[in-house]
Amino acid sequence: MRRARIGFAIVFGLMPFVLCFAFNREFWPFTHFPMYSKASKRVVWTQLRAWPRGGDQTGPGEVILDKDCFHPFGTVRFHYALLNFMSPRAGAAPARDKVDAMVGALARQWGSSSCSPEAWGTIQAYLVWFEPDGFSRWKIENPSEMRAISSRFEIPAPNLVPSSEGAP
Amino acid sequence: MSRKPYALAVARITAYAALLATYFYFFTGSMSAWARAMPLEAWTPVGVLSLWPEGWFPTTSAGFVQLCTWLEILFVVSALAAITGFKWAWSAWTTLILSLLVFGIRHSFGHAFRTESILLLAQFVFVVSKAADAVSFDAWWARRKGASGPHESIDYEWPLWILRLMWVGIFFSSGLTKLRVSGFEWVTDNYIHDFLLSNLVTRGPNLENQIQGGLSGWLADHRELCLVLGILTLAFEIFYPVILGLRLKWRRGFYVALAMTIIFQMSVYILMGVNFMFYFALLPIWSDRWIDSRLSSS
Repeated sequence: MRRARIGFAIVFGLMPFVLCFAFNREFWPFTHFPMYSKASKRVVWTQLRAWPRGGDQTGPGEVILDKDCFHPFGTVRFHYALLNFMSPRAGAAPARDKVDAMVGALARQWGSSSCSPEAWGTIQAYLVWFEPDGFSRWKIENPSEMRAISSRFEIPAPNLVPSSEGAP
Repeated sequence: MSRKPYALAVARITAYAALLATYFYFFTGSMSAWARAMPLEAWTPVGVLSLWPEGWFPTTSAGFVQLCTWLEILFVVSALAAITGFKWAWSAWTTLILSLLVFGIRHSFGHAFRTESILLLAQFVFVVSKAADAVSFDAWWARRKGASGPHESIDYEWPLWILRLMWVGIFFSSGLTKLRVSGFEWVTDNYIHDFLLSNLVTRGPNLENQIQGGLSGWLADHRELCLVLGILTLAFEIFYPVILGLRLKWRRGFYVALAMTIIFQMSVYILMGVNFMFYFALLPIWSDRWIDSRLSSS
């Protein structure tokens, strides 16, 4: 009995490190902790941009950085999710429908949250690139390149029933 | 060597308490409230969750919220039972299964964190251990029924060893993967500098106006320091298994290594904004002699 217990603990506690490393694959929660193993000189990230309610909808919009606006998704997790959907494993196509689902859900959430539903009219997600010498927290508004990756979603007006339709 | 049950029991309490704290931290209070906001169209099952038969998964938002509400209740009750050592033979298994479901569902919307992985992986050892033979409801109840107190047994020692190997394996495999993916360029190309800069973009909003943001920005401006930090980081991870030898042969060196581990995890949090401090919940696995001597004398 003791041998079986120890065997179970080794197979599920220690072997996964070896297997994940050998196959260079993760199978959550089993992992070989590959984070921070490869750096890129050109940073790619996602941004959420918003346009004021009733204001000019044609400009670049404003980058939303307030972490309260990403509740309950989580700021970093939300952006990583969009990035993962847009850069899936080799062979798979970017899942733009999932990006739309996430941004649409966030827009609906804004309509009933304290994240200024009266101020913002629409939101849209972008893939952004920062060059080696051109990025810092001070220049986060001005990436060297940006591309829309979601539809533009209307923020439901406060106290109205949220709409699930995206406004292109 | 520890053959008394106390260190393992304390590790059980701290690990499962940390698991519960992690749950509230990740869901900022309530899983069911979180589930209400999640779009099912973005559902992308991760790892073991991909084994979940598709037909069993709710197809409506209301069904998903209901599922999460039940999981939430069961998980919290089960984790509390595991912490207190109540019906351990059952609560350990239910907590393992429920935490895989709860955290797996959380991670199945595009991005999985690895910060709490150690608490999930450690459960695979706890479930087959006798971690509730002391400092638990079960032990108290058995004593009331006339059973004698726990005896010394190797059953209280081997789980601690496997947990230690797991802990060491996390640092070692992380270092090994860096070498595998990037080789020594990880150091020579000053990747730490690149990570610090990119972190100011990816975690900028979280770091802004906090001491962390200022520190990592300052460090990024000093490339030579980043290079030194890179060398130290890789060396620390690759040579981490030495801690096992230090523990057996050179106690003072072992305490220094353990203190360095704590500083390392705190530095990752301060400079990168990544919270690996859930690891501290498993520190009792390294302090078995101290815990056993304290609790057995009391």
